[in-house]
Amino acid sequence: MLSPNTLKYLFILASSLLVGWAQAAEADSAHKSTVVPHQISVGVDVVRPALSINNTTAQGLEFMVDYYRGRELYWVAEGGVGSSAVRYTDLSYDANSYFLRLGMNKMLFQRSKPNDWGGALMGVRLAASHVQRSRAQYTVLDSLWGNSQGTVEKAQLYGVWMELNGGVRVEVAPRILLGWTARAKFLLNNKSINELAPLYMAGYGRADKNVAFDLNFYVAYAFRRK
Amino acid sequence: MTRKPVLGRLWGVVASVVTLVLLMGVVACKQERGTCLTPKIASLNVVMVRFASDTSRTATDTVLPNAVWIAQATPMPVATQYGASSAFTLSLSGVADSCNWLMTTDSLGKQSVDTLRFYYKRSTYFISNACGFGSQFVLDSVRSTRHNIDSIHIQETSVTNNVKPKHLKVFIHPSF
Repeated sequence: MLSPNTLKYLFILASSLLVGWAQAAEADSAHKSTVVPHQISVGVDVVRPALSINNTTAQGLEFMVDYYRGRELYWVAEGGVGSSAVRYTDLSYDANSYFLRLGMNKMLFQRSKPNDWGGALMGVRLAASHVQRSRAQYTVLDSLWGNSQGTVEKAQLYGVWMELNGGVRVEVAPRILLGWTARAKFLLNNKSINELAPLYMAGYGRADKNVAFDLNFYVAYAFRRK
Repeated sequence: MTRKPVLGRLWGVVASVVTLVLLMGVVACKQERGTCLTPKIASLNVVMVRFASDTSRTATDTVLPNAVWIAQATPMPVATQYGASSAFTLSLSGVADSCNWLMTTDSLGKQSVDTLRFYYKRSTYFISNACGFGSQFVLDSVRSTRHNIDSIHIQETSVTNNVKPKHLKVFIHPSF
């Protein structure tokens, strides 16, 4: 059975898709006479590696591919890998993970001409991540009765979440795109990973939080043909 | 004629970079380990009550004048002196299946000391990465001496970091 929160997020996702398609259909009818080339852009996120430099608890690398064929809609696939090494005094484990996000971006404003590839965008994603967590060791700190220690066996975990995104994309040079995407992520299966939710789940962030916020800054190259 | 698109694009880049820097600031300000805002110690909440007389059927909360609770921990006992109160918060040992608390009703008077022995099942659970793991308990029974204590009633067996439940009612002798 889906929880009330899950149903709520799925409703938001469905509503966003309907609004996106409605606006896209309007934009399409307004530009029927305009020939817009197809585009595939391939990009890499430069924020996550920058944040990983001094942070061993959350390291990752993310890539994106999107495809444009009209209606100001971009079909998007994003993926990547991540790892974390937790070494607290009362908790230690390692986690390696990879993820895939699928969804779409919708440009908020119609392009003024066919080769206008910049603008503000909103998007939705459905995403999943696989986490391989090592055996964890923990200590329950108790200054009165004394500390107790325990272990949690290694595990394979799966996280599923949906995202609502917003961002900006600019073509700074021919075929070179820069853009950031701010993300609000809503974990859908928090109960299945709460025995020891990993500190960093690739693509999502802190898996012990039901809602996460994140930012990507993509540098992308575009392939186009008419 | 070509200035407008170039300017528009430039403004787009500037706006994008400024917004990005602001958002990156927010992301970069995150601490490596978050602050633990959840209670980690399981709270055993005890209420003192008393019947007004041997024949009375209604028990009322009873304020102990100056209670002292002593945890019989190793390597040495640890005492906590309360002011006048009818409600107390204790903890259970996460390293044994039972533990002892000593209780005096008034540290200033010549009151006898009662011993309460708690028997329980214990387990640990994951709170969050910020807090680590915590202990939780299921009370099986409580035994005590009868100097000032008449009887003990377990109202809630689950002892967790939830501070709201009243787990025990300790009935003090009506003559107290």
